[in-house]
Amino acid sequence: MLRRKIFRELKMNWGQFLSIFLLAFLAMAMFCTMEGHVIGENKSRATFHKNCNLADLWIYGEGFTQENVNQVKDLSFVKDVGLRMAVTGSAPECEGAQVDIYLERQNVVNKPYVIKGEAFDPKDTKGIWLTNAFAKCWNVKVGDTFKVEYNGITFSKKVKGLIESAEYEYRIADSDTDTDLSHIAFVYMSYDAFPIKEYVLHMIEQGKITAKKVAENTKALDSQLKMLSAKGMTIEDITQDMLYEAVNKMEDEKLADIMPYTQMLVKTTDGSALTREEEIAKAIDDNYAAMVDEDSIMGIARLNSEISQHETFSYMFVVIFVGIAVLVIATSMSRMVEKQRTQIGTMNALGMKKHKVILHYISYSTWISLLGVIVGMLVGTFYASPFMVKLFTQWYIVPGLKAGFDSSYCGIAVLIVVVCAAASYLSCRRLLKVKPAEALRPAAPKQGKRCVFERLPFWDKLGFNTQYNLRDISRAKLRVLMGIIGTAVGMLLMVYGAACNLLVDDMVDLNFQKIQPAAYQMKLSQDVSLKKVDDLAEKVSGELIMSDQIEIAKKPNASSDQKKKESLTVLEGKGLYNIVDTKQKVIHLSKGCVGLSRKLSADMGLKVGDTFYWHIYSQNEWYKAKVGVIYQSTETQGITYLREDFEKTGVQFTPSMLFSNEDLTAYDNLDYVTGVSSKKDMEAAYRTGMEAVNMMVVMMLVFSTILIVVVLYNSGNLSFHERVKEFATLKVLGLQSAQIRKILSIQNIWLSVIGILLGAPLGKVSLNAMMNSNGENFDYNLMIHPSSYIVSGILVLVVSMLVSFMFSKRIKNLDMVESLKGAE
Amino acid sequence: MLVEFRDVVKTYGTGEGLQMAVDHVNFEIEEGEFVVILGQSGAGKSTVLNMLGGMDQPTEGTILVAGQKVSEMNDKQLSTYRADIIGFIFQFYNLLPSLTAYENIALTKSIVKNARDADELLHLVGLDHCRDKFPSQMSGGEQQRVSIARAFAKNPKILLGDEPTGALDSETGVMVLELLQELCKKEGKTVILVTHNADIAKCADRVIRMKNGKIKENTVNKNPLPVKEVDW
Repeated sequence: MLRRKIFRELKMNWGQFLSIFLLAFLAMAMFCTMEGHVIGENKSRATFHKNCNLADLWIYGEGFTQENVNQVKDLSFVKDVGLRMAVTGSAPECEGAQVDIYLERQNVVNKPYVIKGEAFDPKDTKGIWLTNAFAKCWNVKVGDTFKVEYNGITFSKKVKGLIESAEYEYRIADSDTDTDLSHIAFVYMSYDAFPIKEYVLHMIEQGKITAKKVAENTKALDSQLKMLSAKGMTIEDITQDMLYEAVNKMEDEKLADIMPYTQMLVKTTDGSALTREEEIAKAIDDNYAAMVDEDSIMGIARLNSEISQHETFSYMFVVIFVGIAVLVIATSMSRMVEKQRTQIGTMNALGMKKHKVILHYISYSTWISLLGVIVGMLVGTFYASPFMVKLFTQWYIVPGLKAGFDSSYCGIAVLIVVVCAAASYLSCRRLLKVKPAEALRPAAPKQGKRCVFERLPFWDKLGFNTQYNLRDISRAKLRVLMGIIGTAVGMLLMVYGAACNLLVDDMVDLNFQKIQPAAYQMKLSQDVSLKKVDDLAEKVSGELIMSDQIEIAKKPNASSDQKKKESLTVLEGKGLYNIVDTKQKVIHLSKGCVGLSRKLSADMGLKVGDTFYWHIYSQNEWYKAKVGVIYQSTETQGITYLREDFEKTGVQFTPSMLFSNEDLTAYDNLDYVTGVSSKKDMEAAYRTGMEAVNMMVVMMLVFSTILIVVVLYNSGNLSFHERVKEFATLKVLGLQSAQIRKILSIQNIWLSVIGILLGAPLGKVSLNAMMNSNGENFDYNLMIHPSSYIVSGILVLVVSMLVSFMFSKRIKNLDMVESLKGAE
Repeated sequence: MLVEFRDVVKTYGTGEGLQMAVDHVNFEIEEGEFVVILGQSGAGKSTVLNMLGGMDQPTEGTILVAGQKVSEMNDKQLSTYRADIIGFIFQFYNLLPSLTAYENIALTKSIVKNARDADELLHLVGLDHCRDKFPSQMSGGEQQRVSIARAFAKNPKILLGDEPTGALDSETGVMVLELLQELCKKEGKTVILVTHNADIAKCADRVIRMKNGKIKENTVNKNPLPVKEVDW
């Protein structure tokens, strides 16, 4: 019978219970959506990393030998060691897309994961293994020929396999501002497949390789040098032509040392990484430039951050929605038991056990929240999470990725239900403890007392509506709190959505109007002769930019825990590539002034005037610099030099990009140009890449609206029911329905306005926190437009007023006779 | 004639469940009369009072008050009617719990233009000392006196009371009735009270007895007794 009572009362109070259902549903659905993605990623990545035998340590240096490998391998905790040469080239037949080339003779660590075709064979000199995602974009298939350009030489290889790599779960071309899978590829090939002779000859022609460099790096010229020495000549006497001729006659093997292995990959037995730095450094006699773990490998670290962000979000949503559900339950259930006071007394008087009565009232929210979590779990697991996984494959590539499920879901579901049941119990227990005889009598009216607002000096001057509502607010604190918190969270989400809506425009403005305002961007090959690009830059009134990876520390030769892997940017100060301050205003570097990004300065505790040290990632020499200015960089942290100052350090200026307002497409065919893009195209590509943000906007707006409707509906419903007798009295006294509706609506609007004011600043904080939780290099300081606040505020207010209208409409049809019936 | 009920019918429900709450009722009340509608539970007296007070509408028939057809008024007109013509006194007072005694009376300023001074009315009902008290801080009798003061504050033509002494002990009830009678006489108001207490009828100018929704008797009391003289 009690079950029938539950069903009938659920029907009668469907509004409140639907709210509880929705909140439990949203909490569980959001948890399953986010966590499904996290679990799916974790499981698939574990398999992926295992199959790839992903390294625990990456060691960079100017040249590693087999001897170094053996030294490291001898360490007890080392399982596998791999050597590779890594260079960056381009794909001339794919609009000059960036191609990261890995050359190996053995492939034991960081093995490519084959999607299609043959397994990678480092002895195969005819084939190349190409990125699957890139191949898909350019319709390249196994068996096709793929052309690669590196430092002025071009070679073609047959695609033997389509691969993915655990190091490239996230990938972005150096010249891009957002991931575009058609702009970046990585290829694996045999070290011996690289046309080394052709390369060295080309470099000799360019004047980039001299006899001295060949002699320093290889033994190829040893016999020639002996002959020269016999004739009383030195290496200085070898001309470019002589060197060209000598190298042309040599076998490839002899030249191999000119391209030494620059990376050593270490797989440890216990997964330990930088804690072993000292031992490894000792084993290779400190002959390395940098040693990092996966936290410094962008392709892995970025997804790590994303997953940890989602994990945080999954629990955050549960806390938010369940928190509001608790407020709704607390207010709804206490109203319900108060209304059913005599029923409770009757049940007790009839001899029903107390625990049965308690269970009866707890079961309302228990059943409803149970239903909510079950539906939420089903929707989250089977629809939302797979959808999210699919969405994220645009940015992250993990083979075999699918949404996951974990038994912990059931734990969270039980927790939500228990919290809802507990909230129900706590709000009912006071009344359920009342003795039957007492419960059968109507409750004594609430003790009237002066409210805090009455102390206001202008209290007497306030109108009836205001005084009435202020008193009501001070007497229904929980309901008011629910209204304010709910609206504040709704406003937060609304600001979030509105700001995301403008985010793309803001970022386009920042990237393409302030940082790189030039109309054209040209990507340069690594081998480009400085003189040639200087000439071109002068001709097109352009600005050359160099970028590289560096390590930065407060002292030279610092250990890995004291230094950070960051970016170096060298600009010429012509205004075609800029840095901006924390207010996004362009800063012009003056002579002798080195810029340090804000996040990095904060992380390292450096301020203007402080000294720091840096070195190019692949080179061992450290340089000293002084912080001249702090600038804001949204996604990459590091330092910025003026070319003039940079060249004074002695490091060679090797530009990778040229920016100009003149049309650079005419120069696209130059041999050192790997691609030309117009600002218009880059902007369009950026906007396409950010399309997912639009979905975020819609999602936030929907959540926000649901939340506000649910909370204000409940708040309004409670407010209406608590005061229905008063409203009936006012109506009998002759107050027009419109006047009473105004009283009810005014309070809702007040609560909404307070919620809006509280939620608005939280919107900015949480938006920046979300953007920056993508990784430690992120430093967004998004300014939310006043228009976003205004639009969000108006939307929240409109929703609030509509909900208010729904309730106040009841006043018109309020049955005065019925409402005033019954004993007080 | 101030009030006219012409063949008024009020039914609830439909078909077999149809209930006749008021069955073709006819009566007239003159201005300044002190009227008591008597009857047992379910006699239809409260329904008559509710219809007269503009809180409910008849199913059939016409209700005329001060020449206005109340039975044909729309929602807005009924609100105005209740505000300007009617003062209601409830069995359970129905004071707004979040307002003080003074504020409950002063509330009428928001309803009618020429509302009477709340302090003056508080004095009139002998509750100066309760001015700033909330309903929960007052006795039932005090609350009912505030309710009467509130009804008078609008300066209505007709005062309607639904068992105004029903929730009070006899002594307090007498005090309240005394106050009502005194104020009505002094201010020339028409008072219509619904009660099942036959003793109250002794004080009335007119007594309407109802049973099963019908008027059994409509008599004019030529010698109404002052409340004080009735043997309660």
